[in-house]
Amino acid sequence: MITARKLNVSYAVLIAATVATWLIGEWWASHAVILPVMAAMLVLTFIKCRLVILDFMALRPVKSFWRVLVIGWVAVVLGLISLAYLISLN
Amino acid sequence: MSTTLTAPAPDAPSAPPGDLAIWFFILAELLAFAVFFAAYAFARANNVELFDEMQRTLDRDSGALNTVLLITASWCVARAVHRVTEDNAPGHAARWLLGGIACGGGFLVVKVVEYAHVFGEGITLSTNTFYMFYISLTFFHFMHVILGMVILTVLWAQTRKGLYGPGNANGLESGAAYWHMVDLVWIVLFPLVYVMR
Repeated sequence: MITARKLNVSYAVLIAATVATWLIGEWWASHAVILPVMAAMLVLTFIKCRLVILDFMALRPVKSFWRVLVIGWVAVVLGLISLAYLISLN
Repeated sequence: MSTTLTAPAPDAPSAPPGDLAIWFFILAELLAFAVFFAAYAFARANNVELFDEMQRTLDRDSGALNTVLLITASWCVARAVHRVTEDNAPGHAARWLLGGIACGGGFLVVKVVEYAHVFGEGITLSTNTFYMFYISLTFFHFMHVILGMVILTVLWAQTRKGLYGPGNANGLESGAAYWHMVDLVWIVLFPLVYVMR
């Protein structure tokens, strides 16, 4: 069971990660692409998606097939975005 | 990550909350957005200067505000489901749903203001490749938010009537899952279109 406290903690983390994404965006707007910053952005996005999937969509207590399927979607999408950005650097 | 790979309890439900059909619908929607996101990223790889220059014209603050609004709406909806399924408190759940509807409405208002600015500048789908993607991708998502708002409003009315309770929340859980999908897609869309350069 996902408790109300767990939902609140996930919400707080999601908001903090969104503020971090916005701050990185502010900095990034006046700087060239740096791979560690790109990686940080992708990790933040993955963490946010994972929290929504596990706690808000309530897939945490469900058998792993569904978690793997939806979190796998996030991994594939972020992987394709990473690949495209790496290509653009060359 | 460990939680993802950890085996669930032996009595873990085999299906996700809500109707199984809504999950097939959600997976189909996620596939469509995945194609859209990949197309954007690879189109950008061939037009880096154009995409970076055009991205500067977007209002990143609006995008961040909309992320906060959608996440807050999702949290409200998750709390509403929890209130019904764990506490059997439909009155409280209806108020949480109302909070979710208010935040979803806030998202639509911010987006309409953003569109008014963009279209006021004379920008259209044919202005350039970046704006073709920006308008079509965000508008595709915008339509999903509108549908989500309709669903939340119906859920709110039904929850107020006390139609849902523990063991009888399939409709509520199905609608909530759809709304969280809308939130999930925006969480990827915001950094991709507004931030990454």
